[in-house]
Amino acid sequence: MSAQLTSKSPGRTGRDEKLLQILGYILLAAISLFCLVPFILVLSSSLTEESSIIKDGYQLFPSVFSLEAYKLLFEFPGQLIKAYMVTISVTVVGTVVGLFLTSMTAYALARKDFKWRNGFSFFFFFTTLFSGGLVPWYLMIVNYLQLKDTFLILVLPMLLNVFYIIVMKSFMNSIPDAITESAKIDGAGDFLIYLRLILPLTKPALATIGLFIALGYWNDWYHAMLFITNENLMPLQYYLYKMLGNMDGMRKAMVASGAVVNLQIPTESLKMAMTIVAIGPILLVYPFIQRYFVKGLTIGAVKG
Amino acid sequence: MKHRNKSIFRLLSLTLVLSVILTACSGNGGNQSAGDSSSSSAGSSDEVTLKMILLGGKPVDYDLVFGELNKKLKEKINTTLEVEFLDWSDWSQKYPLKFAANENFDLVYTSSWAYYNDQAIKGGFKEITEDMLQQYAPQTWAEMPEVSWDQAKINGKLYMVPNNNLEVTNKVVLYREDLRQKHNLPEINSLETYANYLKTIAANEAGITAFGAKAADGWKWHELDQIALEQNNNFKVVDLRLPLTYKLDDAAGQVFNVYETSEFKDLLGYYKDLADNGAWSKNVVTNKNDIWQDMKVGKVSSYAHNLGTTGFNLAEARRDTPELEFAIADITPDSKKLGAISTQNGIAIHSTSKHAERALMVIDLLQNDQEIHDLSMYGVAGTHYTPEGDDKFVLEASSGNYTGFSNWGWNSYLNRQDASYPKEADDIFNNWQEDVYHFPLETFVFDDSKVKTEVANISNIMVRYAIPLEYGLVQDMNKGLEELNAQLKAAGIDKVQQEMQSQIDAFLAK
Repeated sequence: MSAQLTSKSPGRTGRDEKLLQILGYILLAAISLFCLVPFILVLSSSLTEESSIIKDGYQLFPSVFSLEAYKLLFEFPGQLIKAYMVTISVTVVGTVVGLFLTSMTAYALARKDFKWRNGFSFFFFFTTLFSGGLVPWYLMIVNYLQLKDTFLILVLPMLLNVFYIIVMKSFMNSIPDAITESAKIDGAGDFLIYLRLILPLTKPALATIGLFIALGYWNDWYHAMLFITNENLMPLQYYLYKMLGNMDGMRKAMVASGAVVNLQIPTESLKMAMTIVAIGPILLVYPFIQRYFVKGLTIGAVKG
Repeated sequence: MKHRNKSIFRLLSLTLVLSVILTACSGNGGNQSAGDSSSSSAGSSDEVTLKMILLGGKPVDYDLVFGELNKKLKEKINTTLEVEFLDWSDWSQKYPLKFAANENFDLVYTSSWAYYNDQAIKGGFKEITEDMLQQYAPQTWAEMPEVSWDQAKINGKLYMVPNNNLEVTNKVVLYREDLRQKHNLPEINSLETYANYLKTIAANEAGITAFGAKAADGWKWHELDQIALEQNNNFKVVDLRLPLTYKLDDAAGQVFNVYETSEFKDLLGYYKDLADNGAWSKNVVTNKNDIWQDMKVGKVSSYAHNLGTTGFNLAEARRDTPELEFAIADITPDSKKLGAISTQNGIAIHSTSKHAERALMVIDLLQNDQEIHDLSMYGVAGTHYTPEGDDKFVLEASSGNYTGFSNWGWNSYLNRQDASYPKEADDIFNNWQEDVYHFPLETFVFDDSKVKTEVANISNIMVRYAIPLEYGLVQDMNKGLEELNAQLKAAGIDKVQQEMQSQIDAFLAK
């Protein structure tokens, strides 16, 4: 929206600008509200007494304030902190190693002088179409690779994602070959070129894919569910998922088995408290990488 | 342009991957032949540690209680237990994997709703013979009623030690006694008096829903059907996914479609009358709430459930919300009382366990040794509970640290009852217990392997046509009923009925 408007009088331009500004702000405010209100609702519900939620539904402001849900959640803070540490370390290790591998693979596939690149691309893509199924996979990991209850199993399965490789590759395709050529003439080896020239140029893509990978690790509970029984290796999401799932599952089991278990659980407010606890760190990190994120996603051809 | 291609590509690859994942999930776990099962632990000369898999979250005080338990078990049979817990949130996914991967465990919780049939047929459980029972679980053999063993047999073979605790599955209604008195209503003891109560509440109590139905996850019947349709007419629905039914006292076991009976038609009238008078909310079929929680805050005035649960609700309400007065009523007092099938809870032995004998000894003690049973069921006396006499207990403050997992697998006649359990619920139970009705088809289970598609279709029709009809959401009842039965015919109910009838005939001929 530069000043190259077709209007003749500068006054009108000002007015138009103003109108545009006003409309823009109103629209943006409305959209922001759409994003904010549910979050506030979650936050307030997590601070409301369970019975009041059941009676009157969710409200924007807690009608009966209660910290019960958080109390229950932090009843064993040791567990929660441990789970946080596991999640953070898995996310950091997984993201760093994953990014490294993803970008190396993508760079190799992006190089025009790499003879087998189409063959390899096809091979990568093809493997995403078929899987052996859950049971053989489980057998392989538990019986043959002996990875049950290890830190590795939380990192390995999500380390390389073919889709991310393809995104990365198409981004690298927009880097002129001349750069590689000239570096070669100056006597740099392939790895040096990748490290010193290509990586800095792909920063926006790295940030974007990095965020995707990190989010994937942060939110992953499935691998932990299958392979982790040791409480010291339980990631946060699985820990929370277990707490919730145990309540629902137990209700169902009680109906099915005729057993009666006397447990008092503030479920609705607890769900909300868990959500807050789980998204907290991401909320804190996000503003710092947001600028890369926008850039990386909207990037088109060669950037200036 | 490039960007658009990318997103199309992304969509395509996503759908491909998804479809593959979905189809790949139907793989089945490989059968395993029983491994080396030499009887190395007959007698209790050498010390053995058995692994047991139970469902539920690991209780906080597991180490404390099982430490005590293992001391006693070691003393008695030189055996200790180590338990792996499969959380309620994901047990149903992990359970079959444990067998498929042939992981190392000896004892495992199982039941009719937890893969018993499935794994028994796949060879996941060790067959338990009468000789084994007599030799290694003599007390269980002596105490268990014949009918419980029979109910647990699959194709004539036994794969679990069922629990040994009589339960009656008949349903009752929990209602608000204070509201009944407020409106001077007669005692609730029949379908008519109950309907009268519901209609009065609906008409006079603003803000209270008279009748609540529990969250509908794929449930195919009206919440009152078990009472008003089955108990009231002494019908028995064979498989809850199908409307096929027989009469309890019919020795020939003739199966019929319950929707085609005059009893069902009359019941529709009863439901329609309730619906028109606003006895339940319009969105009853999509309810997601926990009805009991809704009742405790005074939003709902009544619901139907089994006796055990309503009894506990009553005790809980007296403790937490004394301002609301609840009561239990059996509104089909003359109906036949049916016992729970024994496979509702049990313990099985892994087919590749090397210590089957020792495993049976453990089950024997868990079920029949007062000291060990108390410890494993209720925790440490004085910490988690306090025993009261021979058959009652009082919960202590930290009882929540030892509960919530499937130690119900060894429920037995030694079970204690919560001292706060309401007397009226107990009275109803004792009353029922005297005339639990046993009948030849009690242990019959329908095998749907030949008609899986039809069963799935019929189930869908029930959800789509029968549920709205029963909750009075269809204006023209007769037309709705005709439509329902026409749809069922198209879905292949006749074929399923023939299949079931032939299975029943074969079952009765044995």
